[in-house]
Amino acid sequence: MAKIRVHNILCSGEQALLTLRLDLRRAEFLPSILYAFREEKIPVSFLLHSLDRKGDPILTLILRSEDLGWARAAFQEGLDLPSRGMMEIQDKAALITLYGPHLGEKPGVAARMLSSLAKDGVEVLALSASINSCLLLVPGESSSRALQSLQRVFEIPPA
Amino acid sequence: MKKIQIAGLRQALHFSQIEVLALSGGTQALARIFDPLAESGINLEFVAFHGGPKVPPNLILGVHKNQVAATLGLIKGRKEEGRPLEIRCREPAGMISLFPHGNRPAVIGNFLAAFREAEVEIWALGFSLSAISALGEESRIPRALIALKDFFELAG
Repeated sequence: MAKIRVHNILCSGEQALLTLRLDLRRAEFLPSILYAFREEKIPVSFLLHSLDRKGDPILTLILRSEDLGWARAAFQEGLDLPSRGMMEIQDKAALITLYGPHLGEKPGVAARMLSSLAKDGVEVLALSASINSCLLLVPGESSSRALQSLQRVFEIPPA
Repeated sequence: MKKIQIAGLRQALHFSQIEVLALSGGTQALARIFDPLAESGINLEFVAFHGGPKVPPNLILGVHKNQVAATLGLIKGRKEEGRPLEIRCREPAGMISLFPHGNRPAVIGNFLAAFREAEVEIWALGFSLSAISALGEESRIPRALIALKDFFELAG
């Protein structure tokens, strides 16, 4: 099967995943905390949000490991989180970005990518795909394996 | 409040949001969901998958409504680790994509604030390299779009 052409595949190590399970009252304060991220010049690599069975928000932020301590404190204090239970953290992850001209228009891109990663035993911690790119978070120790796996599915045409 | 300049704002209607809640089985389970969808030519306009070390992950798919029945037909009744998939379908859904110029935390902050001000619930939020996309109830999307114009302006 022909490889899927993409513009580029990038990998950034030293990323952390921070997952918050919130109630609706606390979720109202998220914009203020994100403005504080801006003031501190802390980038957010990507962010995902969905609702749990009860309709309460689950929020996942991917950010640089070096910013994790600050981010953890900002959410803890800004949302008045209890010391346990509402925030989970996974450090030492790698962010892989696939950037292509057509990912949102071509069925099967995510399927081929995930089949290859599954075959190579790469755990996917978080995934976001729409329009023209796919962001993928994997454990740091499997980033090389993930990149090799993706190179079997995707190719970057020479400039 | 100073508006943030952006490259674009797009609204897309006639979607459904299909959710697979607390999906166990890791990447292999994800692949087993995506493979039959790809074989049937189903185009996923929005994909988000996230959880935490102890939070079982949710998989969120944004599918055009003319492909919803086929999508549900392919994933309903499937099992992972002996348990049937827990599937929820929210519809009708619409999607707003905002194309920012960097400065992501402030953009996300304004994006969430606009939805809150418009009293529009975000069903799911995801990122691509160039855009932030949110799914919500279709009839409320125009209202969110109006609110977003109070927080953002097109560059140039």
